[in-house]
Amino acid sequence: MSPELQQVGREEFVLNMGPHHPATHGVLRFVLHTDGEIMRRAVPEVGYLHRGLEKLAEAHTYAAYVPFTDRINYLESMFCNQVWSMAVERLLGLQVPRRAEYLRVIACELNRIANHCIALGSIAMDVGAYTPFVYLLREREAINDLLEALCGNRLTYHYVRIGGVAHDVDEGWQGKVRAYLDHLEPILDELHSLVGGNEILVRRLGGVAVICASDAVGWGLVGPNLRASGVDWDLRRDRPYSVYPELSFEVPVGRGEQGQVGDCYDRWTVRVAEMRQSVRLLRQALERLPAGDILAKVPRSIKPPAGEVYQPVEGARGELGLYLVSDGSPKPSRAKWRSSSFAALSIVEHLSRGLMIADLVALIASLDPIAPEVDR
Amino acid sequence: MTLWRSIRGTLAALGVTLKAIFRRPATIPYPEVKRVPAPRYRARIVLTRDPRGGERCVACHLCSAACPVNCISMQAAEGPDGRRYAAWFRINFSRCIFCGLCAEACPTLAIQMTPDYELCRRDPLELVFEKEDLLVEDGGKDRDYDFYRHAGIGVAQARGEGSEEEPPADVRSLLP
Ligand code: SF4
Ligand code: SF4
Repeated sequence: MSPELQQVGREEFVLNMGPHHPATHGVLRFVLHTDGEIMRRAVPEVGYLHRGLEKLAEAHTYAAYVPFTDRINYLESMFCNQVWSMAVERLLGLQVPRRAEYLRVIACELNRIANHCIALGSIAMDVGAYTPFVYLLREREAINDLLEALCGNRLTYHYVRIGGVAHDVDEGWQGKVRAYLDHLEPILDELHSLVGGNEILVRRLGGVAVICASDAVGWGLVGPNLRASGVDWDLRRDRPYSVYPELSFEVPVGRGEQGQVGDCYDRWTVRVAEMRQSVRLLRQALERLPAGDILAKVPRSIKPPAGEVYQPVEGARGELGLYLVSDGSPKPSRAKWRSSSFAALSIVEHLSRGLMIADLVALIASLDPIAPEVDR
Repeated sequence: MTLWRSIRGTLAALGVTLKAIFRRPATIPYPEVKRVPAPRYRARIVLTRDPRGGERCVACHLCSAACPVNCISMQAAEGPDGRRYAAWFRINFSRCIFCGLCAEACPTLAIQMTPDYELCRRDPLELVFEKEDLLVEDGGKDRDYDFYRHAGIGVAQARGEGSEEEPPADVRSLLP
């Protein structure tokens, strides 16, 4: 390179990606400082979807806030419902009936599969493969139908309530879920043959944006993103809650099949493996679903004693936590959500140094952030 | 090895795509074919009638108290027999989040969620439904439920007429 060109080459170009960009998964902006195609750094700009959901909690009673938790993250509403209910139950010292716990597990695992359908589909779409996205949406549609018959809505479920669940299963619903699971397992194999061996996808994801285990832990990554880096950590097994200790399942971790442990491809395979484990969990839970009540005796006006509680659950994106402070009145005094997408976004700036612009898109997609959950 | 993987990956993917040609389409042509949602589906809200055709709602305000976004408003009135009813009843569907808490709170089963999901209007003000828009000629989900067979209407004689009673206070007057 001639000396003049070298001079030119040292300039920095600032490029805006978003807030309305198909690869940012919601209204989210990245400010890219680039040097040609190479990134110097990419800074996420958050806050476009801030709706004040934490402040809203202070203005609503405990039961009336449950529908708002649906809106924290529209792809895993069931987990948001559950974490809110579990936190209030712990403050109240309430015991949830076993049938309700099993129904929660069933609903949550269905929700996890639906969420991973979107996650995998958008990873594939962002690196240029449109077909898997459409196929996975078709599968998610069937889960939406099942959850609609159970909860009465397709996205904002409002199903898990304080003290139990809202509705019991209808006649024949369990059979439909079983039939769907039988249909889903070959589809997962089909998905693997459709994209798992695809040279373009493998090269776009394998060995790209590697997150080493210590970085993953240090930046607070959770869930599939953390496990893809080889850290064997799952709250369902390591901090057992609900009836998960009674069910057997494995925790898939990244093995670096197409490159290094913790690359984008591992974040893809871990999610596929998690869907298989969810199928396994669902089969067991349907098998063991006990008879009994679906709602505990909840006082008409919920007034937990003064105190504070931190309640995490293993959501589809990993640890979804709620810190809840009660002052003994019917309304919470403070609610703080610990969202997994926010932690996932914080590592982007650190990882983006030296990445190509196109690889940044793969990185963001593989971290599976959701803008409403980041901003709340 | 890589070449073999590429060939296999491409062929396998093509096979899946070819198979999809013979599958039934997963989509439906929407306005012509309408999907029927599950009976539990929560969409447009209606006010139902009891088995004798009377309005079920007794204007107890429980639904509006339960609503997390305060989109139900009403004015209570009293019929000649002491039976309360809603003089007007309004739901602002542009605010409603279809959580179903109102239907769960209602003691008379008057307010119910229906699976009618086609709630779009050009003008947002048309989404403010008045009582005439909300009332339906049907009992909805539990047709035989009749609150007044369980609870009864008021008392036989007017309020304050009993020998040990005082006439009801005029709440709008300042006089003792
Ligand atoms: S609809 Fe039901 S809850 Fe609402 S005011 Fe009427 S009777 Fe009360
Ligand atoms: S469904 Fe929810 S938001 Fe809508 S009117 Fe009823 S309580 Fe209010």
